[in-house]
Amino acid sequence: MEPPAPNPGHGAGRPMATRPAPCTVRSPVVLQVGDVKTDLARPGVAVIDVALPPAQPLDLQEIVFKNSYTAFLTVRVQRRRPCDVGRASARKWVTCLWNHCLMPSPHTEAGSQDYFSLFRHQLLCDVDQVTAVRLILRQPSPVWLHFTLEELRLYPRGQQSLQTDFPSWLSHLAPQQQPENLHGGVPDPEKVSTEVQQLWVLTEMIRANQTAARIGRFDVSFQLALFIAHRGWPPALGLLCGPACTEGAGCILGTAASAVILSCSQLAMLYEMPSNCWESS
Amino acid sequence: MLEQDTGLSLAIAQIVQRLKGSSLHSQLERQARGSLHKPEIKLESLKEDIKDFLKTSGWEKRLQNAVYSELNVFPSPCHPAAPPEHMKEPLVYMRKAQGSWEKRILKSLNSMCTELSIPLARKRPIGEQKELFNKWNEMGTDEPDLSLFRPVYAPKDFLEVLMNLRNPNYENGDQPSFRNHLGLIQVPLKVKDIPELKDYFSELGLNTGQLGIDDSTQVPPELFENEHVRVGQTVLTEQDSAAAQQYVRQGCPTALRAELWALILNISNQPEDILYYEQLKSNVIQHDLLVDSLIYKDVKLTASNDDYYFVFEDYLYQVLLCFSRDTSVLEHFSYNSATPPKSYIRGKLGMEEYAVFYPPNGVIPFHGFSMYVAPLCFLYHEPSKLYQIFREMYVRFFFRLHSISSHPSGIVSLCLLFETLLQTHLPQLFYHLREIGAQPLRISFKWMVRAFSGYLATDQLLLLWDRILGYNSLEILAVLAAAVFAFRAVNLMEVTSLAAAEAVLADLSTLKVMPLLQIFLFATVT
Repeated sequence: MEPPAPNPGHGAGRPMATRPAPCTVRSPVVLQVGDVKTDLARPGVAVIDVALPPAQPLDLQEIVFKNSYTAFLTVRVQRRRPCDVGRASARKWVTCLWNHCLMPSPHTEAGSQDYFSLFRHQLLCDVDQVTAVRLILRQPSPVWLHFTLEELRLYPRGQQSLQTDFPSWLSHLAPQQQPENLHGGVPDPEKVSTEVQQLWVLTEMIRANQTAARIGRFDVSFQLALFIAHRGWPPALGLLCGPACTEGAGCILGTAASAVILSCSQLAMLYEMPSNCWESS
Repeated sequence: MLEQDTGLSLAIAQIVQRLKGSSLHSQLERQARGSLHKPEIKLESLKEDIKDFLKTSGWEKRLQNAVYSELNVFPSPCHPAAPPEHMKEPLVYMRKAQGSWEKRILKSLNSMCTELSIPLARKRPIGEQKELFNKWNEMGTDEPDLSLFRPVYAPKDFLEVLMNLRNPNYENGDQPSFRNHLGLIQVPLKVKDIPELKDYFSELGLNTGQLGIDDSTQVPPELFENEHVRVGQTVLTEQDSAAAQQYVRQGCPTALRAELWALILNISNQPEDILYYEQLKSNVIQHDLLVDSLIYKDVKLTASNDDYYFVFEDYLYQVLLCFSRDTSVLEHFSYNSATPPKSYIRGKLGMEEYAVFYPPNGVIPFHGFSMYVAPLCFLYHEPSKLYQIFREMYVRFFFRLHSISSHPSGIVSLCLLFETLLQTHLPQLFYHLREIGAQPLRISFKWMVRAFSGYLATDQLLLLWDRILGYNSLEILAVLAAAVFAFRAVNLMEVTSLAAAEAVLADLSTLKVMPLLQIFLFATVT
């Protein structure tokens, strides 16, 4: 019996054990050239600083937020490295996400108020032992009055924001079916072409050895028929050969129709294969 | 946004959850259990053998159709942090606008109720129940006094609300600038332009055969029509929903249309569906709702006066009265920006335990609502199947035409798409109409809200609705509206008032839909 499926509906996918890491999110600081109050042009860049408690550097797993009319997002983190211990100098900022697009068309509403998740494997660099996070927001379109991010939360490693506990095989799509091989009943073209080569050599030999001795109507076509029947090819092919074998005691096929030397292209047509596979002839 | 893998897992989980409770699930289980008696099912390879059995007996196809239907109807799952309102409508100001619009409708309904002192719902006395049961197939002969009733709202009231829709974070200055749209809609939604529409509607192109163009009498049927009908019959024998949806983009042959639409909407007239319809019918007989009178009034005003649809009056009552009582329609409110109105039992206002949705399906009919059902009466004659088709079409498409939302098929996006297309490709016409006070949207709004039902000839309308089903989107309505304006542009340039413009565009019944669409999308020099 498979376990009862949970209700993976809105917001219910987050189990109670996951908590966002404690952090202080400062309000966005707008970057603008000139005086903020008197300048008429609207700023297009804002910065949100997130400070983590100094003694608890965070191994970042996920950043979750609600967009509010921000078009592009860049994320920089400050990490604590073992070589930094003891040094009071400023730690380096590293960019872990550059110009991530939140609104594909910044003049219009698409994506403007959606919820987003950034996972650690989407980020450009390693985000362990993070001590501070800086989010740089860009909105190049002048039509919006304000832009920011809301409900910002950082999740530490080991706690996923999304857990679905139904059988894992359900999450994987079945592999795409290969189209059926319709040529299953047909012999391998390579094998056939080598055998036809042998056939051709036989015919050349016979032609070269034209003796006076009568072999009656036991001619090449009958040999072809014997050859085909011997190889076990489908009887339909055999029916095309035939009535030249008047000396028919040994005639395997036993029909009275005339023999037909099948050309390679005719053979190919019968087997629905391209005739250029018969390279030898 | 969810990244791809987690999004996929969540989508699969949701579809599994929804299909688990359905009758298809129990039928599949029963079939699988029954197959255990068959000799080809071996214990060592049980899973594979049962899978093969389900494939060959056609059950896998039915499951595929059900999954495809779920994918088409429900939107892709939201981020788990998003609240349920976010799936209904992501933009906060639109949710607020829809909320206040609903309050207005309810106020209007309540005031009518108090004025006429009619209860919202009452149980019918036994005599009346018997009478209604006997007259079920001829309710049109009933002539109740409906003069005091008025429709709750008409499309032009809704247009006023949409015109006043504003995003508080958008710079809506009084000075005309590039930020203000020249049309009536001032909301900056993303709409497709002609190159994107050409790509989206590529099957309507000049090089592809279409029913509505390539089946006219001058074209010999061997060129396109015969082959198309043959392919349609193959699709029906295969019973594949996705293939049917692709096929229908080039139009449906009239003989196959009813079955193809049922296949796309995944409606099979099972005994339990017929039973459900009979149950709704008994609900109608037992209880009388105020909404019923609104439906009667609407049918009498619109469908009964229409040359094509007056014969179906009785069918319309049978479908719409049952529709108002169908609580399974409430499920679609999880992705509809509207919220069903609640009403309280007399004397218990405000107490949640005594709250019910009114009407039971949560949808208050407006003036012209019955026109959504009327064209379907040409295709389906059995009331329970007609009912199911209408219900499915409503919860997939028609609800978007009268609720405020930012969805690309929502009425706001359709209006904006129409105005943008007209402005970009017929700028002189647009400017002229605007100058004379005849904003084009004022004329075309009523066409789009009704999905052109009642304005086009029925065969043309059904060809249009074929494409709505095929592309699973209503954007073609806006494109057709712009194409109609383009077609009558010469006459429209000469008018000098809104009334004259309306007169030019009053009669659309002679128009052929597919040539208009093709010319506008693919053959107009820009």
